[in-house]
Amino acid sequence: MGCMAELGELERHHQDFEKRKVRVVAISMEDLPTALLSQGDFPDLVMVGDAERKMCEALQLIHAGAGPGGRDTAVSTTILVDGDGTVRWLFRPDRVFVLLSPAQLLAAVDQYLL
Amino acid sequence: MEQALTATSRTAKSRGRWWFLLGIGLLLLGIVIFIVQSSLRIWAVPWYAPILATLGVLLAVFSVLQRRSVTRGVGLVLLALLCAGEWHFLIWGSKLPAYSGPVQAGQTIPHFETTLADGRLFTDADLRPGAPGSRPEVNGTVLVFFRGRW
Repeated sequence: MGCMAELGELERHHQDFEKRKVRVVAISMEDLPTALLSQGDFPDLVMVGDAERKMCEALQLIHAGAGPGGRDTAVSTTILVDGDGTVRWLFRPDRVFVLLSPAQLLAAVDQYLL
Repeated sequence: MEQALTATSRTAKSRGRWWFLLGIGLLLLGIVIFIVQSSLRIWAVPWYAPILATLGVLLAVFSVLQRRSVTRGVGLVLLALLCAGEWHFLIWGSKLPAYSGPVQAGQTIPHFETTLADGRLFTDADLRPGAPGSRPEVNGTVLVFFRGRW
């Protein structure tokens, strides 16, 4: 519920990201049909279905057993990467309830990417 | 005389009942506040929920001390279990591990390959200028990892 609400807020503020020429890519470990469904819900975000876990494993962003039925999921994490591919900022909340608001994320973008 | 005895019996049975109901109410209040908080997109740890539940359990204990009954005893046990469950989830169950992976501020994003929702390949090269999938007019990219639609 919190994750979809977070993406909904990012979608609502997509013009604020576009003004800053920053794209938002949302990644989960769900399959492509599910990712496509999310893409329809959030057309201004770039959705990734990392069902083969390649990206999450490469960046070590897997939360083992945290999903329904004990499945692995991606850990809530936000990473800012500049136009040269350099990581500028990484945010990992200490609990599942804590998410970045669009205002907080935009402030981080202004500080670290612009 | 009979009416006086019946009234006394009713009073004895209901002694402490309102404390018990208030205890249940406090536990439910914590849940309601959390639902409202979520709907308002306020993303903070709801410590108030187990605190209210604990107060509810204490009121239920007081109620049971006023009048012991099987119903109140079972109710107290259920309240205590719910309260314990809330504390357990908030303290341990909701905790996320600290990040200790290869992504470091100031360093190039590690190599990765994955798939966009439309089936196209998406790699770390797409985040750098000059790559086929990259967009030179972009100042940067926000990568938001989330658990899923469930």
